[in-house]
Amino acid sequence: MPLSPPPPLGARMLPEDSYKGQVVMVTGGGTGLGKSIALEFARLGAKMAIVSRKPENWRQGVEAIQAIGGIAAGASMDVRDAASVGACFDAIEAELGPVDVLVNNAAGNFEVPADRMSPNAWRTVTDIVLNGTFYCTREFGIRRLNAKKGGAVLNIGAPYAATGGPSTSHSAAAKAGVNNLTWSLAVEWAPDNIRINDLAPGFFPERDRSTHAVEAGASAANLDEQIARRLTTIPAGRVGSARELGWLATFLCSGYANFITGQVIVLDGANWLRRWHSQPFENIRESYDRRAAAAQAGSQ
Amino acid sequence: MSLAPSLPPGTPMLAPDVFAGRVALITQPGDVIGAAIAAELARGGARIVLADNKAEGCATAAAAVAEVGGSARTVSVRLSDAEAVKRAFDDIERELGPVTILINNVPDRADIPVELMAVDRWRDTTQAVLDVTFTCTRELGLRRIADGQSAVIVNSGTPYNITGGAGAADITAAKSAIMNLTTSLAVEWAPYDIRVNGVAAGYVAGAEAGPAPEGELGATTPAGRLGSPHEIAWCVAYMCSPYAAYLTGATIVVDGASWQRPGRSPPLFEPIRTRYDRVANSG
Repeated sequence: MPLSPPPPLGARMLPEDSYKGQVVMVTGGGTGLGKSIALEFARLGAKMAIVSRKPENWRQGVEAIQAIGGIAAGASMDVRDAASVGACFDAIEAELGPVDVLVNNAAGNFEVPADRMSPNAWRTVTDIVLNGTFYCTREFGIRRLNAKKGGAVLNIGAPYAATGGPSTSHSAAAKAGVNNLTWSLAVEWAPDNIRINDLAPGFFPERDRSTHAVEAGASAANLDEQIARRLTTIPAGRVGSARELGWLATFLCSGYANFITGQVIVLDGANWLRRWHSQPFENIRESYDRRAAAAQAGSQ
Repeated sequence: MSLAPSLPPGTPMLAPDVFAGRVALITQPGDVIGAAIAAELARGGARIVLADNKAEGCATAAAAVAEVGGSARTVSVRLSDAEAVKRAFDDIERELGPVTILINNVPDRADIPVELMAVDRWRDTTQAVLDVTFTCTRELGLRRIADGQSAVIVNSGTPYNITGGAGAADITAAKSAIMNLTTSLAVEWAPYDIRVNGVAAGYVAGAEAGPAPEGELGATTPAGRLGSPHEIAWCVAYMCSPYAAYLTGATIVVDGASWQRPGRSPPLFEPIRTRYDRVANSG
């Protein structure tokens, strides 16, 4: 028996207009989980700022929010470039007003054993995840401190930040850095009423994710196979629905959570808590090679 | 210079029927947090049962439930006695139906250094915290596994799970064990749709125990204030709601980032930038 299914898409957890008058920025908010999180804030009345590197991505997010009657603006941002981050904040704030809530969702990840990982691969992932989160958070923090206004930051983390991530060591190291940054800044900025938390999702499959293929050989096309395989290993007996992330995100950034800061919360149906004997060990490098070869054979 | 104040008590968060038809059992509800949780679950439409070793331990929480227009059934039972707890569940469920929300509340205790801590106090604390939580949790689990009904449990954790709780070694050790139990049971019982989570409350206004007077305590925290009991209750309400259907094995610390700051007692916390500026200017 799986964990109960969530309430339907569109169900509102918090009171209507909980975010009325507030501007919420979601990096990487045009596709996948970022878009789903943005939609839940929009349902509660927030003015949404959807930023991503590619215009075609943030446009998707803006259109999705407008389609449910929400307010959204989009802009391009490369989170790896502090100057681009500042310029993007300027553009968004000129259109919507000051950003009250920042969701650091932009990320990059792909499976590769460390011995096959090029220095460039390491730099790219850590640059997006760790440096990008810092640049965006710093830009947001400076603006809120100068304005003498509080705010909330939500980092989107990963359960494997706590356990290590064999075959995604670049992402795991960077996400662990993000967790630690969450703790440091929670203390630094609490006196100025800026809260910062981290939400670490388990497996939340999304068909429109721009960079979904974390596993070698995985693609949006074979998502059903991926889900079926994962279902045999997740204690919850079901995968997550993106709206469940959105509900927790909107709770954590709301006034109901005014005393919650510096928290890393894993939302994964207890998957990361499984002990080793619940799952046979797999040699990461061998399984990577096997799946990569199978994917290559399938594409020929 | 502090985190924003708590929203006023009674500010509605979830829909008023979110827990309609459900029976919520709150054990050891005698502190301000137990009362706030009982009131918040009642506000969501749950039928409230309060259980403590002595009936008078339920009085404050029962009054809080009445204040929001609910009514609570109170049960006097030795909560560490498995047989007595089983009989109490029999009575409750015969009258009200299956318990599907269990809150294992643990009121705080006054600080005491270990060298002054009698062995009896250690045993008393670990029994009140760990044995009671295990006994009530196991009884609920047995019942819901047997009848296939979904349930949710919220345990009481500690912000000092990682750093230790100097001055409160007994309760910190026991609550840390509960946090570990929370993670074990989350995996064991996920296949039965029984979610197990925890809330670790920092110091809240109105709590009877603490290492220093309330006025001093708030100033020593990064948040610049103590928590409100209702802030703990809102977090619990979220965890019990269907919106948290995928959340299990998580203990959320609600303490305004107090534990991340090394050092639990005064000297007064100095904001990072104030100190930075002072040191920079003194050079």
